[in-house]
Amino acid sequence: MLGLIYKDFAVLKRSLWFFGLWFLAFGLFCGYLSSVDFFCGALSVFCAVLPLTTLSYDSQCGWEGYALTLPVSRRALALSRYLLALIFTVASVIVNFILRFFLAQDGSIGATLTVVAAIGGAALVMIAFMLPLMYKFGVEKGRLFLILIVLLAVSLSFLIGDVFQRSNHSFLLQNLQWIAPLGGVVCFIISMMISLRIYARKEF
Amino acid sequence: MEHALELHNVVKHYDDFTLDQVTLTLPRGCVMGFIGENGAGKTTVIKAILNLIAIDSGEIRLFGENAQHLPRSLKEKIGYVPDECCFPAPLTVESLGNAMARFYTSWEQGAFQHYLRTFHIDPKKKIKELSRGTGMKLSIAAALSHHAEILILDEATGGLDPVVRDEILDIFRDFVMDENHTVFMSSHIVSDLERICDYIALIHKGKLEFCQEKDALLESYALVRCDEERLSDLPPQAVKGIRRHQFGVEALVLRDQVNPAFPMERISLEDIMVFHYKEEKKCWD
Repeated sequence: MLGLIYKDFAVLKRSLWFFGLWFLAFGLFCGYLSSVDFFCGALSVFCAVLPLTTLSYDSQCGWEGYALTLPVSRRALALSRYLLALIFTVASVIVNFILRFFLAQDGSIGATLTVVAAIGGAALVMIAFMLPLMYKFGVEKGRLFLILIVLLAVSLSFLIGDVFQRSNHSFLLQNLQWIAPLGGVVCFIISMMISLRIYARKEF
Repeated sequence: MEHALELHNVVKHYDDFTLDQVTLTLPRGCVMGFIGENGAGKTTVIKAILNLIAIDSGEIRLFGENAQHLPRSLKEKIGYVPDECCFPAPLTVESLGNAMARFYTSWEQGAFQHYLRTFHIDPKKKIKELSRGTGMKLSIAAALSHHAEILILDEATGGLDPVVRDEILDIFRDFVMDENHTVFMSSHIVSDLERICDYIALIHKGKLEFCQEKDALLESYALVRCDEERLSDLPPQAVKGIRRHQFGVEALVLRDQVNPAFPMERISLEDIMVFHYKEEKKCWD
């Protein structure tokens, strides 16, 4: 597992300057809009899709088949990207917390925790949907599913927002800082189990 | 001592291809050349050995252990070289070596750097900047740098210039000087196989045609040049292949089943392969 994580970081390291440039530009844009939350959401989504970048490079060169001839199990190969996604998501949550606490207009700990936890949970749910689809259908077809998932997520968020406005949602809002990450973790675990099954039968 | 590699009645079905009851054994300390035309099933067999694909029936053993459930300690002993460079494009050669050190407990960074120097590979270069041949050399360097006991090579010398191929064959020859080291290599370059191999296995349309010691193989077959009339004088069971051209017929025969009075010539490995690929067996079929 350590070798796989090291390899993925070495691959992404080459693109660090590009990521930094992108976030600088996006940060300026969000600063202009005075929307820290928008930046935090984008950062978490971006971190969530970073493992897809490594998966894409791996698919192009046939790395996965080669990796299985090394002292690496199918289990480790399947789970390494989840570990990578978790590392990036946790890092984005920490960065988001710091940014939002100091830069947002309602920069209280409670509000910050709620927003950051919701974004972190959403990122975990996104990874939970994406990775099994990529593993099963490959990166190219998986990207099409990703677009569908994003559309579904946006539609659901409007629907949920509509339901909120009509109902007494105080319980959910008061407890979002633990409901969202808990939901994200549950989806993440179920996703890992599905991916392990896919990898157990996959031919390379 | 157990064999390094054993395949027993291995079957794998695809929609348009079947690997049919492939059986071969490779003793430790030997080199086996695995030959076959394009689409014959060489890569399928190699993938089955490495458990990259599931087989439908049969058994594959590496160092006496079931290849589908190899412990980590035995996977450390396998050095695999695929037919294309399988390393992610943005990696540098140096970072690949550092990654490999984290996969193998037996990784020798010194050996890896030695092979990089031997093959003139710049450690600072990215994988995507390497030519096809250099990428292949890098794969070979990686396979030789962790005390592997068996090298499994899938067209590993294809795309390499003759000078480098010569160097690499010398390296493989040095590798098998250790009686515990074994090489299983598929290749179209028959001259390479003739130079280095102890055993030759030929696969054709998913079926193993033969698996024999190279010298015994070359001694057992002979080439007969004759006309159609004389061809019928040959015992049918001795004729393993026929090539017709405007000047007559060439027949691949089993030497010990043909009357020694019949003029027979020595035959090369390449000719044996071509006769098996062409399939036309008997003029009276």
